[in-house]
Amino acid sequence: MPTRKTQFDEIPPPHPHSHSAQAVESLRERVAELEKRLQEKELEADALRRTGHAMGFLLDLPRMLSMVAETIVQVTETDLCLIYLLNETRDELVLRAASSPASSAVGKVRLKLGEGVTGWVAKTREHVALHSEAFRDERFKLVPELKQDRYHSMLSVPLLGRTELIGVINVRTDKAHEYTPAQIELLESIASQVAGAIENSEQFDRIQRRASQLSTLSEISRTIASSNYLEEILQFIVAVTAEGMNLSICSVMLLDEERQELVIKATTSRSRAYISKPNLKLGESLAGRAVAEGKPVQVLDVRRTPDYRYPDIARQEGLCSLVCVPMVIQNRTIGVLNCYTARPHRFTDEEISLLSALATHAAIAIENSQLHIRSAILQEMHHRVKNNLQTVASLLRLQVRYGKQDSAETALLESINRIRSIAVVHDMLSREDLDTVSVRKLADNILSNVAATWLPEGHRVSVGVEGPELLLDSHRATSVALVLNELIQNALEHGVGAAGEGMVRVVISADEERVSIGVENTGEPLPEGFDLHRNRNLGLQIVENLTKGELKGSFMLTGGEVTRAEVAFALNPDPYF
Amino acid sequence: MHPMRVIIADDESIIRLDLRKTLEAGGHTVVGEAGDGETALNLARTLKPDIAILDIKMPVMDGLDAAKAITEEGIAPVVLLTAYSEPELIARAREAGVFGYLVKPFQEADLHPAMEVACARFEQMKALQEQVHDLEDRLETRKAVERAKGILMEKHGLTETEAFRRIQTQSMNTRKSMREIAEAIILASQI
Repeated sequence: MPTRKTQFDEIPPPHPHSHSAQAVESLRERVAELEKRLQEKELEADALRRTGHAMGFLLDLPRMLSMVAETIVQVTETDLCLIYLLNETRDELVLRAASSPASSAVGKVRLKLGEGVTGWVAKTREHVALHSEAFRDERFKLVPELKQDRYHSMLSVPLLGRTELIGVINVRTDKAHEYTPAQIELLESIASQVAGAIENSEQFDRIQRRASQLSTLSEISRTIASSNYLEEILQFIVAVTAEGMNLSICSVMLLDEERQELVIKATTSRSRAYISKPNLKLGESLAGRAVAEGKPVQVLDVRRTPDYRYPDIARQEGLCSLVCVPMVIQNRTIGVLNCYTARPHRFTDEEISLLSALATHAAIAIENSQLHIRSAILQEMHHRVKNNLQTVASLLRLQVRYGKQDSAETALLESINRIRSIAVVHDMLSREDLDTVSVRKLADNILSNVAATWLPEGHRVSVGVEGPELLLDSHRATSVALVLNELIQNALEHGVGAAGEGMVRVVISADEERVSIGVENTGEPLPEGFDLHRNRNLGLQIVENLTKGELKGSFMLTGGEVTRAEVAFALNPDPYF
Repeated sequence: MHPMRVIIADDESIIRLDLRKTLEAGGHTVVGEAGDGETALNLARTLKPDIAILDIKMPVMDGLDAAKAITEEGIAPVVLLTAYSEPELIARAREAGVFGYLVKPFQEADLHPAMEVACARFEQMKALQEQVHDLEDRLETRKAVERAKGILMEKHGLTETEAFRRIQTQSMNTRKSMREIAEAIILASQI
């Protein structure tokens, strides 16, 4: 809003040496004058309050403008108000709002810049006040759409935005009317308020439009449930907000409910210091307070705010004003949107409501994406469980077919160990966030399980796992678990079991391309003339099938003093899988 | 139950092993095994099995796409074997024209009847297709012969019986079908 001189400065003070009667008279006049101006000021304040009210709760531009037009007619005590706005190409003024008798002409009247009085005002950006017989003015142009050009007076003021002309506001009276400087000033200040509201509303429209893309985006996420996706949404949000609101930094912090901490998830800042600043506890600093209280918190200068946690970073990055807007969905605060400006800026109510709307959109998008991810995970789990049940059913059925000569106890123990080896993988997966499993830990677990089943109390068999740490995806880890289970069982049962003492060890080795997992044992050697391919033992069938099928590798069995069974496969799976 | 030549596809080798043993115990022969849909389709094309049992979720090409191709090419009936029981997938399976749908974990007792029914349906469908084809051919023959008779009667002043005889004789002499002869006469008359 442009600053204006107060009109009180213009009133001459009473003459010091005049007669008392004259002095009284002049004082009386001065009082009357002051009263009149006071009344005008009050009127102006009231008008501003009323137009402000009209604009405050409506961000829908056409409705806001028509309410403003009606209000202007009332507060200026004129007969008609017309609001023209520049079109997108900025060469024409279009009637965008009019008070009631003329409201049907909205959108139909178009004036070139410089055309008519209104066009002249737009071109020169100066107001024009015509007190009577406005049609005699040389700039006058008849506008047939308005149908009532027999008006007498007209006041036309430019609508000036922050940097450029937005449009023109006109008021008219049917009879001649003298526009006082106060009235002109009133209309000008209303115009400046309206200009601000229009700019906000346009900004709102722009950001609202882009924010609604977020919901669409989250719909797309149905197909891919990756954690990167959420980061993309958040990055989009901060970028759009920073651009739309002219911010120096915009960031999103999400609430980690378990730890009650706010974690930075996305920011437009490239500064390492800002990105790696420690998490905020709930209630701590300004963002923490906004989340704890569930309402926006703003400060004019973070560098002079004792509550602010990172004054050093603010100084370094040239951050000044800050508003923290909580991200709320269904009465639950899930995070906070932080907006910094480089220069002192008081965020208006409109700006804050705009940011809140954006934060809500963002919160919905985040919630959606998390729901999609959750449902995708649930579906995948469901499928995995059923598939595993099928594997278990298959293993049991195979045991029935193959183990005809075994005792029921042996058959059951073998089956139980197979199922346990699959369970070990899932147990390890559930303890860690990643979808990978350490082969060493897997071998350790299976070795002790199988040993506990097959070795008698007080045995003298040493068991162990050697080799580097190696991680495998869950799918191949399950195959490796089943393979290890069979090989270790064979080593214990047929190798050291017969001797009652000796050694069984799992040896893992890996280079950049291939992995080899060997099970070595002392004790009873392989039978004379043992042929792997003729052996119809279920355990070895399982090993062969898994090695060839899932692992796409090879299986070897070598005899001698130490029997060694080895599976080898490529470290990186086939690109298809 | 008659023994069948089967191809099976599942990306889990344990399940494949179980399936193979179960089928073999039922007197069938597993002529091909695949871990993905594309291999399954190629096996079906070259081995021409009596039936294909496919898992839905497989790499490279899923079981549904393979099933669709195998069915469209009229190679063999397809039974899907899958952990999925979502209505959406069953609908897709129906569209692909599969002849059976077994939900994992499957039972031996369910497998054989499903295969029998699938094969019977497939035979039925093949027979119907052949019948339709045959009927279509006969209809076309009849139409063509009628027209050709008309042409001969008009051009050579023959009676209907004479015209028919002429076509019949020509067909026997040239070892061509009556339809071909009739079509040739129609074609000749149009020049």
